[in-house]
Amino acid sequence: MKNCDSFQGKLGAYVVGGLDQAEREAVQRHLATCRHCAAEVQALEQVGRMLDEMEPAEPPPFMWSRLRQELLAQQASNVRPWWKAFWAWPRPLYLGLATALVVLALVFFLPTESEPVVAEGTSPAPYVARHHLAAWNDPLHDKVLAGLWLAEGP
Amino acid sequence: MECVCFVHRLIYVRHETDTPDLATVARAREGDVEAFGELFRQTQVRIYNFVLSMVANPADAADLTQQVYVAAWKGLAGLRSDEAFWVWLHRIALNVVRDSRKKTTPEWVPLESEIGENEGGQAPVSLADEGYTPDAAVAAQDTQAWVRKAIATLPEAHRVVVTMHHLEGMEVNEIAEVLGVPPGTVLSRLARARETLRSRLNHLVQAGRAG
Repeated sequence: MKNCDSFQGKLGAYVVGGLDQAEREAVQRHLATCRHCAAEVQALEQVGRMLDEMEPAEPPPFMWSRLRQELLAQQASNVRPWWKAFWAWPRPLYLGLATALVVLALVFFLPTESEPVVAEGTSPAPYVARHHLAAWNDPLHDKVLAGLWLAEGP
Repeated sequence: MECVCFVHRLIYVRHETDTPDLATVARAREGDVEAFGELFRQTQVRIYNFVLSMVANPADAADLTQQVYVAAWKGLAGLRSDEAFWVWLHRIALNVVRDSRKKTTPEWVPLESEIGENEGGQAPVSLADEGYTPDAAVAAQDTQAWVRKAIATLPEAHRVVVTMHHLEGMEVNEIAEVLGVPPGTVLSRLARARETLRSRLNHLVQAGRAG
């Protein structure tokens, strides 16, 4: 029985597979010679079977309907404004969009001819009128117009 | 009745550790509430029992289980494709229960420290205190109720691993991952819980031997 004392604290670990190989073999050798500990192991294994046979508790039946309502309400309140949806785009799309905008800007706003603003011997006003659209974003544009206005006289 | 119980066990209990249908998870991630409902139906019994093992009160367990799924719905986008779905869901449940305790009981003792250093703490409640007598229980053959009662008297950390291992069929490594403890600690808790339950269910063990 004195020998049993050193094993009894290990029987729980033995039945759940918590002992290393050496300890397990030592317990098995002891069980072969000790009816008391062998019966204890059987009892522990029987309790294990009782636990395995336990039925889980049933959750209340209305849970999904409540949860569904809550999720739908959340979904309705989480409709993102368009600018947030814009920021949710994948990164390469931003790059593509920026490139497209730059190309568009170059196509529309760069002067296609390198002729001087006022050609020699011609009246400046029609030329400026012709190029009005192309020059609208020129920071000097209004000054040029003012200069022409002054040169032609009121 | 036995047949119904057997089918029920096949559906919900034994070793149901495989991940729910990935297509359903993907649909739920895209915001499909009905797909999420399918996931809910596949997992609710296990998660409810897991929560119940920590809070003991069925009404609280139902409320907290609902909170678990609300949190899961919000966090579904963050679920890595290689992550075990069950571990992820159990971790959410664990966090929800812990958060609820922080809100209600500031003096709450953490799960890991409840048992004490030697992992061998005993719950103060015993079945005899509850007015049951072994003879009455054996006569009623209500083994399930006795086992449930005995589990309820375990320290929480033991109760949780017993629920996860025996009711949910989770492997030791999965339990360790959810709880954030080494597998050896899980085995130690299972062993101590088994020894405690063996002494508390002695009358059923004796009746089983006699029968």
